[in-house]
Amino acid sequence: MSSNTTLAQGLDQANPNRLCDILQKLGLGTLLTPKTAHIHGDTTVYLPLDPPALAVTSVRVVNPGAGTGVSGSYLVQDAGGTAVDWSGANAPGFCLLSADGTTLEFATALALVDYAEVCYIPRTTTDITETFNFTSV
Amino acid sequence: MSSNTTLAQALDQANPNRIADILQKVKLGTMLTPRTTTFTPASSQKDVTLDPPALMITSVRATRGAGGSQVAGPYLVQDVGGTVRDNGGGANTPGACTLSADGTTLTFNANWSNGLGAAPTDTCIVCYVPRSYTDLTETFNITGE
Repeated sequence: MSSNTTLAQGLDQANPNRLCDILQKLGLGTLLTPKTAHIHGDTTVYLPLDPPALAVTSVRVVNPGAGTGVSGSYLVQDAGGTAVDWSGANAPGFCLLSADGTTLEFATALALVDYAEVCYIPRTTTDITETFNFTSV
Repeated sequence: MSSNTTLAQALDQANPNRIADILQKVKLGTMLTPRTTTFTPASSQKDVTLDPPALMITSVRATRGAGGSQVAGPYLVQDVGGTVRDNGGGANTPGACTLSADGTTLTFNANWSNGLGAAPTDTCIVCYVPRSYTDLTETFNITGE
């Protein structure tokens, strides 16, 4: 006999016979290791996050001179918000995090020489909403 | 033989004979599933209630519809000792709301409005990571084997 549920449900249930399998899929050690990513621009408004983010704790854009990005601190909104450039010491910019945690979107494209320092907590290695087949033991 | 400890301490110790019981109380799967919740609070409310409570808020954004009273735009989250304020209405002027210590309540400066008898207009979009299903400071009884 087997049953299908999501990884999240399986982890909530914490069946000792399946717990190791579930934890191996989730990559909990990676998730609990805060990450600082140094990501260069690619002449688009998008920056990729790999691994995807569960929660972004800070974003800072650096424009070394020849770039196009606007240097400064950025706050994060959901994808439905409006991206805004940094505008001054007390006027942070806003970037948007995609629902799947893989992409930050800025108002101005970042050139190849621009980069962003992104501090964040990664998501689980396998999508936690993915179906997991539990074979009874 | 038994001993009392907090759920957090028990999770730190990760006794293989008890880890499944502990994780069932924490509901780690729910905790690790990021949530995006859209609220349409009643017009007299300044608060929105988060269920499950939040461990960490990643973003708060208000939208304003016809007849609404909230100022649209992003909001920063502070502890309850902070001062709430409306979004400044400009591109770089976030508002501020507060999160209760138990992670259940976001409080804003202005009441929310549902418009003039029409369908709800103002909304609040909150992205967050939930906290443990059972309070991690709750006492957990470890019975020895």
